[in-house]
Amino acid sequence: MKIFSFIFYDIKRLFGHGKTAFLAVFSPIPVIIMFAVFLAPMIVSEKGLAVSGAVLNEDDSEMVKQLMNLTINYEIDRGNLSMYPVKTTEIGKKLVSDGKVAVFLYVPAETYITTMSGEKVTIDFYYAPSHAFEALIFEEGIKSSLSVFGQGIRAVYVAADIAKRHGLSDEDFYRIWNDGVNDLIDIYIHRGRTIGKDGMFLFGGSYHFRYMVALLFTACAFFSSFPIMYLTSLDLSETFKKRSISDKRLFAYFISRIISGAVLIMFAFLIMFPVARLIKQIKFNFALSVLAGVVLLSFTFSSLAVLIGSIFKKGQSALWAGLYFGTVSMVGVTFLSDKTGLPLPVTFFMRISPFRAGVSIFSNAMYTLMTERYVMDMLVLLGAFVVFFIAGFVIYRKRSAL
Amino acid sequence: MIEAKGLVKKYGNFTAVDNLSLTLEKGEGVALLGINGSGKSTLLGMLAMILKPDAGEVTVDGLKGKKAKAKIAYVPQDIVLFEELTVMENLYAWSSLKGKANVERAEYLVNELEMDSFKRKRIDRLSGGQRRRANLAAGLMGDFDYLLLDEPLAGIDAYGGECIEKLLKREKERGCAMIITEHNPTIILPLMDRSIKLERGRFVE
Repeated sequence: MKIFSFIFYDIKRLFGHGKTAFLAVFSPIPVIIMFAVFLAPMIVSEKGLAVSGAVLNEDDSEMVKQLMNLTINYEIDRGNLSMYPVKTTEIGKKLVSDGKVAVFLYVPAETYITTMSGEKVTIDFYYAPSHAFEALIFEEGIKSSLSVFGQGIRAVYVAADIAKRHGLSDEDFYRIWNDGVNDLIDIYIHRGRTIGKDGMFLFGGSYHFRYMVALLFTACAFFSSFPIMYLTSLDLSETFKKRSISDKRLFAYFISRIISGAVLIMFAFLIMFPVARLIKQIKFNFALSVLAGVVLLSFTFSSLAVLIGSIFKKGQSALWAGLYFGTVSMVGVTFLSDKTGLPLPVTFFMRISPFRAGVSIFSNAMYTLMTERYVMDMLVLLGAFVVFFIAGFVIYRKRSAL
Repeated sequence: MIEAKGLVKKYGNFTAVDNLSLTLEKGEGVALLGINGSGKSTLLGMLAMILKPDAGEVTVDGLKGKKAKAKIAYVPQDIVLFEELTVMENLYAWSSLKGKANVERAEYLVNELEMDSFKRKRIDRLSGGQRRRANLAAGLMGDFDYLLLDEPLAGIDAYGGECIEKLLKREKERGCAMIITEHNPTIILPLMDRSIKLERGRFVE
C-alpha cells in the first residue's frame, strides 16, 4: 500500500471521531465570532475602529494641552476617535456607565510638573466592561504615544540636568527644558507621522489588534491538533503495541499521521479565515506568505502533537499535557514576547518558540510584510518541525516496539 | 520451529511465567489451557515477541528479533483494530502495516468468517462477536508460518465458533503451526495435536 492510502485511512480515522474532530475544526468559529462581536463598533464602521471617549484634562500647562491635541485630534481627524471634553470626573464616569462613551480619560493636575521632576505620571482610564476591548485599544494607543513622548522627555531631562550641573542657571534650565519638549512635540512627533504609514499613534491598524488576531489564529490551530495527540497515544498504548509492524511501515504510518494531522489543522484554518473576515481589520495583503505560514505551522503543530501523543501512555494524559503546554506557551507569548530584560533562558525559549513564530508570522504577513522577520520566523518553525519530527519518531518507534 | 527456553516474566513480585521452555514444530497444533491468571496470555505474548521476557529467549526457525517476528501471526485477546475504519479497510490497513496489501487474502477471510454482511461497517458499530471475527481476520492478514491465538472463541456464538473452527482447520491443513489458549477446550482440542496445562506460571500436564 502506498503512503497515500495510509494518509487516506488516517484522515478518516482523525475525522472518524465525529465529535472530537467537529470540536477541533469548528470550535474556532464561536471564538472568532465572540471576538468579532466584541469588536462590533469596528465591524460596523467603514473607517475602521471608532472609539468614543470623554476627557478631562486638569493640567493647565501648554505642553500637555499641545500633546493632548496632537494625540487626540490627529485620531479624530482620521475618524478613529470621537472625544468629548467634560468638566468633572463624575460626568466622565457617568458617561461611561451610561454606555455613551467607551472610555473616560483623566489627566490629573500638575502632570507636566511631575514629568519635570522625573517622577512617574499616572493617567487614569475608566471604562465599562462591555467596552473593554475598545478601552484597551484606546489605552494602548495613548500609552504607546506617551511612551514615545516620555522617552524623549527623559532624554531632554538628562541633557538639561547635565547642563545644570555644569553651571546652567535655573532660568536657562527651564528654558532648555521647555524648548526641548516643544521640539519633541513639534518635530519628533510630526516626523514620526511622516515616517510611519499610520503615524505614531496606532489606533486603527494597531499592532496590538493584529497581535491578538494572530494569537487567536495560532491558539485555535494548536488546539485543533488535540485529536492527533489523543489518537497517537491510543495507537501506541493499544493498537500498535499488540501487533507486529515492521519499522519501515511504522515510519510510513508516522509520516502519514503527521501529514493527516497537518490536513486537520489546515482544515481548521480553512474554517477560521472566512469567519475571521467578519472582522474588517483582518487583511490578507500578502496571501501567499500567509498560506506558506499556515502550511508550515500546521506541519509543526502536527509533529508536536504526535510527539506529545507519543510521550504519554494514556490519551487523556496526552490531552492534559497538550492543554497545559499550549496554555503556558500562549500565555508566555502574550505577556513576555514584547518584554526586555528577561532571564536568558526565557529569552532563548521565546526566540525559538513555534508559538511565538506563528503569531509573528500572521501579525506580519497579514498586514505589512517585513521580509527579514518573516524569513526568520519561518526558519524557527522549520527548525521546530525538524526537532519535533525526529524526537517524535524516536519515541514513537520506542513505544510501539517490544 | 518456535523454540522458547527458560522464559520468565514478573509483574512486580508476582511471577506470571516461571522458567518455561516450549517447542512448537512446523504444522503442529498445541492447546494451551488454564484458568484466568495462570499465565497463558503472558506466555503467548512472549512467544509472539510483543512482550519482553525478564529471562529466557525465543527463536523461530533459528532466527531472532524482527526476522523471527515476521513469521508469526498473533491474535490478541483484546480487540486491536482501528475503530473508525470498516472491516475491509482494517484488513487492508493491517496487511499493509505487516507487508503489502493483499486484497485476495482479505476477501478469503471475509468469506471464511462469514463477514460479508458487515464488511463495510465501521468496527465501532459492530456487535461483540462480529468484532472478534474481524479481529481474528486482521491478525491472519499477511504471510506467516506460525499462528498464536489468545482465546479466539471468547464472546463468540456457536455459529461464529463454527466459522473459526473451519478456518483454523484450513490453516492447519496448509501446514501452519499454531498455539491456542482457551478456557473451554471442547471446540479447540479436537483440532490440536497436544495440550499443555498451565498453573501459576508453570506447566502441570
